[in-house]
Amino acid sequence: MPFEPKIVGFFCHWCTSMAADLAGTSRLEYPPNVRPIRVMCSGSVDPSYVIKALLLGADGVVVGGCHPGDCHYLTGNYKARRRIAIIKKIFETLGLEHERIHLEWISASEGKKFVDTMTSFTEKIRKSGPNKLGEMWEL
Amino acid sequence: MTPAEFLEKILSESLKRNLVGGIITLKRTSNDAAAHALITKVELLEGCDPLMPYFPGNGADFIKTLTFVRPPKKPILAILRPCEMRAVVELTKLSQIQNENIIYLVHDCYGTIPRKEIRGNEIPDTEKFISEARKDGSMLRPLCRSCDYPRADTADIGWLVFEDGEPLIAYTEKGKAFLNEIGVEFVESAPDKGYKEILSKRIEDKEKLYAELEKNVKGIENLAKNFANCINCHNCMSNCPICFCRECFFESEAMEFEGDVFVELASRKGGLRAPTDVMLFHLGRMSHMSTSCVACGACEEACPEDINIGQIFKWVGENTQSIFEYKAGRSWDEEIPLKEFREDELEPR
Repeated sequence: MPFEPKIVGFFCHWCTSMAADLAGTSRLEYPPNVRPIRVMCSGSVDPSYVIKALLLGADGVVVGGCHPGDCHYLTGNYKARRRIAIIKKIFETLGLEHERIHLEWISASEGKKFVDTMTSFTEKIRKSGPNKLGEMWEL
Repeated sequence: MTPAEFLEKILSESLKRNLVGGIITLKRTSNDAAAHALITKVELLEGCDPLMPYFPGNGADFIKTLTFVRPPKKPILAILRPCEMRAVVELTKLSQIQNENIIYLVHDCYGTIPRKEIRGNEIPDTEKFISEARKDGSMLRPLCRSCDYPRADTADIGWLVFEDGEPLIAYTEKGKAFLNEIGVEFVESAPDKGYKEILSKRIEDKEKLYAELEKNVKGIENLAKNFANCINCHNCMSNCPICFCRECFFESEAMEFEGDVFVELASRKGGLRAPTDVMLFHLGRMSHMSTSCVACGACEEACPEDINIGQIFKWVGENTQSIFEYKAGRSWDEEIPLKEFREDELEPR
């Protein structure tokens, strides 16, 4: 059976989740590999959840938030941006695959961008192969 | 100012003349151990030895205890190591310490010896330790050996024991007023000959340490092996001065699930290792606080399994801090990375 990546998406309620809806109502298709989780703000995604998803076998994690300046809570997306940068740096330092974590700004009107992002990220992860981090703690 | 003079002219004098309400310093206790102590009585200054090669934990924790609800009404003189001062700076930025009535006196630091090597023995003589540590740092804790901030100018007063004559320096008006009142000499600008000498050795050792970590810890397999003996006791977290949260995320309900969640996780691969979430704890803690890690190594000293957790946090912390050109505890003015947010940065991601 060919490798089908599992991707966990944390999407802001106000923008990226809306964009996902828009993609749906516009009949745009995106890969079923992405498992969307709606959160109230990209700033509410604790880095631990991103790490946990990867440790438990997700092949990629994508976080979607509002464009800079557009956050419904003013600064949530800036927090997300710093946190993601920190996780990526930790992964890089420890020799883990930071490319499996992706942050993207997708506004409510960008249904097409949502589809394109999910498609290209899924393809990228498909090429990278399964996430070995999930096997780190084997018995 | 020699250690004996320091004890006599600064500590003893400030208590006798009632200039301070108490002194926080390292003290040899009556039962052959040593601890941070808040001393209010001159007689109990015997055995106080701020330079002793012993690290009972980060003293910033005690400053937090002392000032969290309301700082003491009368000034307290706190004698700390540079790493403890850095933790004070971080905790102040995190609203955990109130500094109004604390006078910080920080000495240049030769480092400390691992506690487990001292356990059961007498703490080595300070003078002898210093003369050895000047030549060769191999007996030091790995984090002391590779410490790139053995002097802290964020304090009110510095005791420059790396330099000839071991002078005092006043960094702030508060420190200046205190030294003037007590009537001791101090220098206006810090000589740095001795400091530079020690620092270059420390940095050399730091590069060696990082090269070792690159080789032994980097990569999934190495990392899993390195943490394989972790018993998930969370000692590293509870001894960390920066981990101040009343309830740790990793001990909260967010980590609790119905039994079937674990059964499902186990059935994916046929088995689930317990305790669960060990790597999540370490990686998660790095993401929460490595940007404020002062590399004191309290975590490593507290680890019952001798995992090199402090070295890893120093290494990772230096990297995460570098994203924001930040150095934990270096300055009072820099905002900590997880509190400051800018519209225009970190792009493209």
